[in-house]
Amino acid sequence: MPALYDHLIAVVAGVILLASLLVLQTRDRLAAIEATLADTSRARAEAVLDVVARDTDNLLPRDQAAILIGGSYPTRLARTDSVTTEYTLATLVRSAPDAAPVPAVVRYRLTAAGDTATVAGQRLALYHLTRQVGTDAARPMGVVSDFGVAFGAAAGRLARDGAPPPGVSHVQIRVAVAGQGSGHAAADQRSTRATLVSRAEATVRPQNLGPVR
Amino acid sequence: MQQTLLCLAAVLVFSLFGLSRHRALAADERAEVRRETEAAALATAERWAATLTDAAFDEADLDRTQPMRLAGQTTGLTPKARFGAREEATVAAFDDIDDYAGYDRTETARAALGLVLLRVHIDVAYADPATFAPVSGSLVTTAKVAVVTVTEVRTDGQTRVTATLPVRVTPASQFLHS
Repeated sequence: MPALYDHLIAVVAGVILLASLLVLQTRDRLAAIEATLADTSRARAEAVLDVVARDTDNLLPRDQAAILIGGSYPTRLARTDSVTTEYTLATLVRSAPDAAPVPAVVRYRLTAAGDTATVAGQRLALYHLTRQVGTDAARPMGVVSDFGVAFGAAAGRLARDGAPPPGVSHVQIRVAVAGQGSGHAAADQRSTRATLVSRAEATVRPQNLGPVR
Repeated sequence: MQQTLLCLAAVLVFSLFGLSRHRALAADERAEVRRETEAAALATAERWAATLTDAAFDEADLDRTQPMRLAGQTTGLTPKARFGAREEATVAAFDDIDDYAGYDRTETARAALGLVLLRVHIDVAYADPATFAPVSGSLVTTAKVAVVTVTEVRTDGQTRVTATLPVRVTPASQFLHS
């Protein structure tokens, strides 16, 4: 005991340094996890966008869809206030990478996941996004925090629901994916990493739409 | 005395280590924010490029029921000195590529959780039909190049994100897609 008292300053300083080192280490580890989550969010957002953009790139106009698919023209959008809940389109799809493309109706559906992600103190609703080709079973594409599609025409006109307006020339697509970390960094500091939400957007000009009218 | 000096030295070394780690983490986060801002700037540039491609090649080519202008047929094309919006009051009324020359606006875009302020600037010039390099002077050709430049607006002096997207246009563009 006397030896401890003799080196009291050294003991106190040592304990404080060790505790601080522990905090730093924990903080580094959580930061590394968040960085990985942010990278994953970006990769997932881009992967979802890539699939939607590829289908949209092959969007069939009304006259071609009538010949190749028949029935009424299926291409249309449905939305709530902030997100597109359904995007149906007549397009060309491949069943395998080396298979010939065949005409089909593809339907993207967004349904509430009943869960939220809290990123930088902001609570975001999460949705399940599915892709259904023809009458096949819908396949999950993952959980997203935002999904929006809009038909664009000349002079910046946009249609966010219903059938494509006359003269539609391009389609805007946006996807956001939110990754959720622990919410806290070391020593009870709140995580403020806003990049856990990653957004990917594309403007696609479908090749089959024909001349701008 | 000796103990105190050793403790002070340890605290100093530890503080420097802690600060360097903090700096490294902040740099990582700044890089992520920049990546998201770059994606937003590029998406904005793509959107404007798509809008540009909807426009007619020239004021003289607005009637799309007329035969397409062929290479070398420069009669009636707008001289470069008259580029820019004239009678068109708003961007919604822009009907040909030339109207966008010198167009400049600031708009917000979503990046990660927040909003970024982006400045959109569009330049239009006649170009060599073979190489699409802008031609100088008052030369009129049957090719145009529109350059969409989107720059992040920052007031803190940090490096700004810029996305530049050239759009090549010929008289055939308004009759074709992709």
